[in-house]
This record gives sequence, structure tokens and C-alpha cells, in this order.
Amino acid sequence: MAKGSLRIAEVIQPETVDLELSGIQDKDELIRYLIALLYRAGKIRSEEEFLRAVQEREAQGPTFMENFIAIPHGKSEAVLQAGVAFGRSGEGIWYETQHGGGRAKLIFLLAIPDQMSPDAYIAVLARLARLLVHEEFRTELYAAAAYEDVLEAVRRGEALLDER
Amino acid sequence: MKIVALTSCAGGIAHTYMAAEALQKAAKAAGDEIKVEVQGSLGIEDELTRKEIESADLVIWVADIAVMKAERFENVKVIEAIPHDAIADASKVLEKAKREAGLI
Repeated sequence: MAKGSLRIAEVIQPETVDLELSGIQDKDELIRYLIALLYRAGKIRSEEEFLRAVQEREAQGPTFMENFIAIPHGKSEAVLQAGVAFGRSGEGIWYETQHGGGRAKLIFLLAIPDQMSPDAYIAVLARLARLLVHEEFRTELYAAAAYEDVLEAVRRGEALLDER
Repeated sequence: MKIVALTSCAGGIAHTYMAAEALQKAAKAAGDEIKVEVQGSLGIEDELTRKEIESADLVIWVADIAVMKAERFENVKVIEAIPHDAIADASKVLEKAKREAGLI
């Protein structure tokens, strides 16, 4: 794995983490909500423009994973600076895909600037996907009481992947 | 036992890596040695050599799209599995593959 690539721990911010998603009915609202977090954190210049990039990616194939995980993502000129929004939902939010879908409890939305190389883009996505396979990591995310706990879990996880 | 696997998924990049990671984790837990090649939109990562493939006890394709450089596998028995299953329960996929290959 490309070690020089973007680290999630470096771009995940307190303003882009919500550990108690509430009042969100469906996938569309979920994605719009996470995009709003990125917008307020100054990561994107236009919510609508970035939403289109995310929706285009969604149309290509599911970003819903097993184990209550979803990793929607988009690469767009609307992204000023790479960002990751993380939302957690206790009961899960229905995440519709071409193949059915499922309940998403841990949702990471990746915002990637248009100028980032495909290699770097995929390296970030790959790292997050690999991290989420580990039950220990997911357990830490479920147990996190605050942003700092999420950050610590991501840091530790990324360090473990780099050691290999 | 020595296992080689490759993952390739139509569903998306993240799935391909998730399946690879899940297989590595499951193999480690079972005390097996494994190398996993990832075939994604950027090409091949951690490419398996013909020698590695031919010296492995178990060869698994976890793919739902055409495998690149499939000729490397022409002399071995390949067990096939579905990426979705590997992400959901890689231990089960490995065990099933071992059984299918007559190793257990």
C-alpha cells in the first residue's frame, strides 16, 4: 500500500464527525447531512455540486459493505480540501443500492479533490476499506464517546496497516 | 498451509480491498500463510508469480469479473468464491475452499 498517501487521521475533524445521527430517514438524507458537515468545515465549496459527484459514484455500484458499513465517496472540483465525514447511527439507516442494500450504522463519506491522482484516491479508499474489515476497529468506533476516540481508533488502525 | 488468492470485484474498489483484507485476517487466524493479489481499477497490486501460484497448497479466485493474466493459473486447480461472501465471512470461504480442494 502506498505509505505516502493521505491519512484519514489527518483529515477527519471534530466538525465532520457525528456519533449520534438522528432524525435521518433514508440514504439521501444521510448523504446530504454528511455533505453539510463537510461544507460547514470548509472542505467543499458547493453542497449540490459535490452531491452530484457522490450520486454519480453511487450509480456505478454499491458503496454499502457488509457489517453495517457504508463508504460513499466522490471526487470533484467542488472539493477544496480532502475530507472525511463520519456518522454513526445506533439503529442504522436504510442504505439502498442496486443489489438491495442494508442498514448502515457506520458511515464514512470521503471528499476527494479533483486534482488528486487516481492512485492516491484509491489508496485512501483502500486503507479505509481494509481498516473496516477489522472487528476491533469497528468495536472501537461503536464504543467511541467522542471525536477523540474516533481519531485515536483511526490513528491506531492506520499505524497497524503501515507496519505490515 | 500456503494459500494464494486474488480478489477482483465488479461492485467497486473498496469491496476488492475489503475482501483481500478479510482473507488475510481469516488465514492468519487459521494459522495459514497467504498472499492476496488485488485486481482493481489501477491494475494489479501484490501480483502473484507463476511460481507462487504453482507452489501453493490452495489457490482461490474471489472474483466476479474476468481475471487479468489468468494464464498464470493454467497449471493449477482454482477454487472460486464470491467477493461478497469473503467480506461477510472469510473464514467460511477459506474453509469451504479447503474442503473443495480436498485439503480437509
